[in-house]
Amino acid sequence: MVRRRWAALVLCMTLAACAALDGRRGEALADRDSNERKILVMLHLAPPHFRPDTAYTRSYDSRFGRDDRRRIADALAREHNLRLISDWPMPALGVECFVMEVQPTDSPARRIEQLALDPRVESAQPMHVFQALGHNDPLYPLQPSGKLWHLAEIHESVTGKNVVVAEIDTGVEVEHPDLRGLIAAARNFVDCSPYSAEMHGTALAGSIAARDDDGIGIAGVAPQARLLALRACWQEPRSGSAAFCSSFTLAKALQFALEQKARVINLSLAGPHDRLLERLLNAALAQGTTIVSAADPAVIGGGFPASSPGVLAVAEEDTRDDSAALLLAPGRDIPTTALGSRWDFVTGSSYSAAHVTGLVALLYELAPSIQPRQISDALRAGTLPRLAANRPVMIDACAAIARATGTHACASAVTRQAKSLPGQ
Amino acid sequence: MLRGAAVVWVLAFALPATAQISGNITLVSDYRFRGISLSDQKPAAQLSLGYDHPSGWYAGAFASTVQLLDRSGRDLQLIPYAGYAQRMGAGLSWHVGAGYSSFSHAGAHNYAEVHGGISSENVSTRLYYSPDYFGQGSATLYAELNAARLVMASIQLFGHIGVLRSRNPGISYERPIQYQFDVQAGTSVDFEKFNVQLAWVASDKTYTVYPFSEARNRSTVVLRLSRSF
Repeated sequence: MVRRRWAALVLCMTLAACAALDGRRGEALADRDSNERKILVMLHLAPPHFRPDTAYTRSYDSRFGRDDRRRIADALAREHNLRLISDWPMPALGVECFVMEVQPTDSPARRIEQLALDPRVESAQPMHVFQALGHNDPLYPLQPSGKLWHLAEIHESVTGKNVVVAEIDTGVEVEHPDLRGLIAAARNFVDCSPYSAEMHGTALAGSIAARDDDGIGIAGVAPQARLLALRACWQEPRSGSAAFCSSFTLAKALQFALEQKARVINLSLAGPHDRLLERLLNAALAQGTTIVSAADPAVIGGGFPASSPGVLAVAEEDTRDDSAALLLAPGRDIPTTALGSRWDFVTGSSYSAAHVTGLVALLYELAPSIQPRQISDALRAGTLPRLAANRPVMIDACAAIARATGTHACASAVTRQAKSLPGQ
Repeated sequence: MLRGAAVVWVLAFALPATAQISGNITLVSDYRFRGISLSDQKPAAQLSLGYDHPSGWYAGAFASTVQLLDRSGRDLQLIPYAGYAQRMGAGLSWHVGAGYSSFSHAGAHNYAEVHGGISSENVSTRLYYSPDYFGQGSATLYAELNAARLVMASIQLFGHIGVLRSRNPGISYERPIQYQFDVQAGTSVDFEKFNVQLAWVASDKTYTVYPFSEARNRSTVVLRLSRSF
């Protein structure tokens, strides 16, 4: 009888909690226009420590401290004529991030300046909008990109098995036949609605990790990686297939990727320089995580986050940007997974970055203790003589694996390639 | 006792604007401390205040009703504490500090304890040393390992294992040192300002160094309702 009562109590707790889920996280943030009036205000988040009554719960999820930060945020909103919208703890940086909206008649820049001087505020910044790079283009002829990197041969010895890869983008079609079973977690950081599949995220997932040898579709570069499909960007119906993300949604997804100890993070997007995101990227690099970002072809140097120190900036092979910091990878006419259990051809630096993300996962499987700096060096180890030192480097997957790990995963391919070179 | 409370009160309200102060009011069906009931297996009321400075310093006070073995009515336990915590990167942080547990009308059981530990997001480990645990005249070491996992946005599962090394209060010449283990496993659910915890708590001994009634059961289920402010 007593046991039945306890069981009923547990059931009630669970049901009530489910009903209350995420209600506090507030309204949807997936509106590009209103993001221009939003700002991010960071308050200090104390490190976890001894408290006599809260020993056993997760550090930042305990109620302790959160109410006072909310009180401070409420007071700041009142004093600065702002509307408090949402918040998210970011223990990787020791802050809790609050989203606030500036009145239509007010200047966000002026409010940020004032807030930055307030001793209660750790930092404040604008809410930036980022755009997913690349576009869907079914008119280009079929041109399998895997050939350049000898993927079939590489997959005989390495597949990225169990390497955790975070794809921070739009939603992924988790039940796509070429992706089914490889998504370790799918989370929505855009709004409170259920996780939804979108074009860009689904295409990236295929390039990174589509299943191989399953008799359908394509093979991703790292077909046995564990993919975290983190939806931090949203496709806006009124903008065609264009997808956008904000500083806040990206920061939440990065925090999650850090918690999950992702070895590689794929960011196929670009936008203005963002201090909060750069701090999270630095925390990830310090943790030994490799960040791969697509370079924006419209911006010299690739834009942010590609231009951030330590981040691997990747462009498609025929980019006109000749910055030496860029790595080049297949990004034109890439067959990949598409919505509705289909496959399609895509083009853009987004997909070049996805290829490199998969390749980095292969390197981590072969050399688990390798550091981001060594990975960057390995990816620049071309076997072909370079015409000029100060130009972008076309990645040679076989050479990168050999340089990083001493493993000749595609020795026969390298031999064939060497023999075909004139004068050798 | 009152002096300690006054110090905490003054501390809490004479703080710079950058500090953060929080509190909890809690009702527990049984106040289990390291597996042992300090409330004679009856409900207890608790109050907790905490203060965090951006530099890493922390302080606070915890108060609870208790039922001591050698007292007829309920007494009050007060634990003021203070320490310093810092993040180390890679999701880890460390902290060191000290607390002083005092009992109204039973000062003989007062004791000081220092603590230090390392925490990650989901796991924490901590070591405590008291030169005169509960005024029993001997030093103790307590080590604990805690883990928690968020299973849904507001629901956590948590577990704890601890071991207390103390001098055997019984036949000291045969086994002068004894080890007492305690475990806890439960779930915690957040509802805005409220938190509900349901946990199974167990200890491997009922005969202990504690000046509290011997529990009838080594294990029990504890319900904890708290409201933060």
